Amino acid sequence: MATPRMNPAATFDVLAIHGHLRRSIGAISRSELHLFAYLSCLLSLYDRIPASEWRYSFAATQFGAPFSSDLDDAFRDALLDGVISADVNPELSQLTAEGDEELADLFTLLTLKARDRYIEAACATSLMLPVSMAREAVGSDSRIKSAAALQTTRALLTSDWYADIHSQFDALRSSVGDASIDLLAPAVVWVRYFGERQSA
Amino acid sequence: MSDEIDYDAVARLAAEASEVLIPKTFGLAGGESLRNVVTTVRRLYHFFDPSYCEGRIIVFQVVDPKNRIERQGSDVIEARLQRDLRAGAIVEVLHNGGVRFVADPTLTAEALSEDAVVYEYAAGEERFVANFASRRVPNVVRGNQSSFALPAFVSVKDALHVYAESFVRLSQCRIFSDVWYDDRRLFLRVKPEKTMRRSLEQFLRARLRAQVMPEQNVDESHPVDIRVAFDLPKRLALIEIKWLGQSRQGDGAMATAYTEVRARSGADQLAGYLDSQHTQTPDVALRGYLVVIDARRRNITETSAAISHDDGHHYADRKIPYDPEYHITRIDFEVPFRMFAEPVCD
Repeated sequence: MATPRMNPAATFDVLAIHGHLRRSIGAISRSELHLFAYLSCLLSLYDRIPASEWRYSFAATQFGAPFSSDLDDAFRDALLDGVISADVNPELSQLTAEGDEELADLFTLLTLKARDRYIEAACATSLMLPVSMAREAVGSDSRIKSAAALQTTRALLTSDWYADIHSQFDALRSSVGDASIDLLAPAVVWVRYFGERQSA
Repeated sequence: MSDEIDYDAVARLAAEASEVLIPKTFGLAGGESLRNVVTTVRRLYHFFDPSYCEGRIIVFQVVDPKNRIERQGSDVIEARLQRDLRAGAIVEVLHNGGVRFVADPTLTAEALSEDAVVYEYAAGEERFVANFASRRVPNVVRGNQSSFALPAFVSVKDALHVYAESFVRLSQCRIFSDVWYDDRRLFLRVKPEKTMRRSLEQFLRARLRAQVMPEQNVDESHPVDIRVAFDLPKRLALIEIKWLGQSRQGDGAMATAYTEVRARSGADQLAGYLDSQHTQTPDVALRGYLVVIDARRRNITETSAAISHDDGHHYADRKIPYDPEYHITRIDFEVPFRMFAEPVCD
């Protein structure tokens, strides 16, 4: 029996991200969970959904990556509940049969199911491009870079962050089209642009 | 500081992207077919390295099942893919999840693309075709035959083994190949460490499922060559790179030469970095990796322009004795990785 969750959206995201990445990379690490949750959140903004509706926030860590404490709590709960479990490699985790069932149940809740459009597209970038490129792209954000350089933690989703993201998405929309098309398109173009710029 | 974006560069990427073309051509169903085709390609390349393919590999899915044409063929059997894909093949992805060979070698990617999302591999080039429009798959990872056949490592040790064999031994890495002064790989350029660090860093960034950070300070004045953070990060790996061999200035003058003493001083240095890092982050599990790029040659002089096999490989399997043996006395010190870089011998 699952214990009550503090943040149902984060719980859903943990299961959905594990489910979608099974198709491309199989079992995933905790840092990959946070990476793809952050990319999913970005895609919801591309779709002009206010960030407050993502229902949890992110910070940039000293290791140059986004992190959400709500998501991390949900990840730990999911492990304790047995809906995800450690892979043969203990660094990685995967959905269990119970996790598949719980995810199917959560899909019946329309508010959660709506998130899956963003999560699926974010995770599908790992079919088209190496995960390392998504990591590079996300890590190219100036706030994330400065958190790594200063060895500190910085809040993301701040007002200057929104201004930058929306300006990036305006450029994407003018080339890729609006969000009524497959969100994989803007996701891949964004990851390639910032991923290649970061590693150049 | 804002993260500005170059509109023209984004427009170019969008114009080249099959992920943009395919939904515009076939709608959301086309996007789903693209995912199904790529999932299948990745599965096939799990069993078969496309660089061994002597023909062309086509993988396609008809977007609307109503348009599907029943063609003669056979089921794909993963255990036989090494044999079945070598000469090339046409593979259809069905909407029920099935995958089958199509036995009609006259079919082309363009002909299939009228109603299908089509992937084609031939001679190291990959592309997608949708309704006769073609988009090349960008080769985002250097040195890889296919963007969909990329192994990703969880372990630094596994990644270093592959780097040593596939990139360093024969200098197949484009970045690493710049370390040499001469075409026969007898001498290194002066100060090759920066190029070596960049080569290994690029490799690890592309292949390791972790955060890879170059030249990170472990204290106020000492940067370790590469730092790798795992899992948010409960674990950190510090990588120090040293080289052995004879370097030369651009004008041919002999420059620094390093013997195995350099490897031992590198071990001392890394042990010191690990101690400093332990002090800074006592709650993080640490592991130190000493990478020794060994380019030593026997009997070379300033006038050497060629080398025998015996002299060129004299150090190939020669172990370096360490004292102290940190890899035995410390739990945070991995066995040093000596990577021998071969010369071109007579």
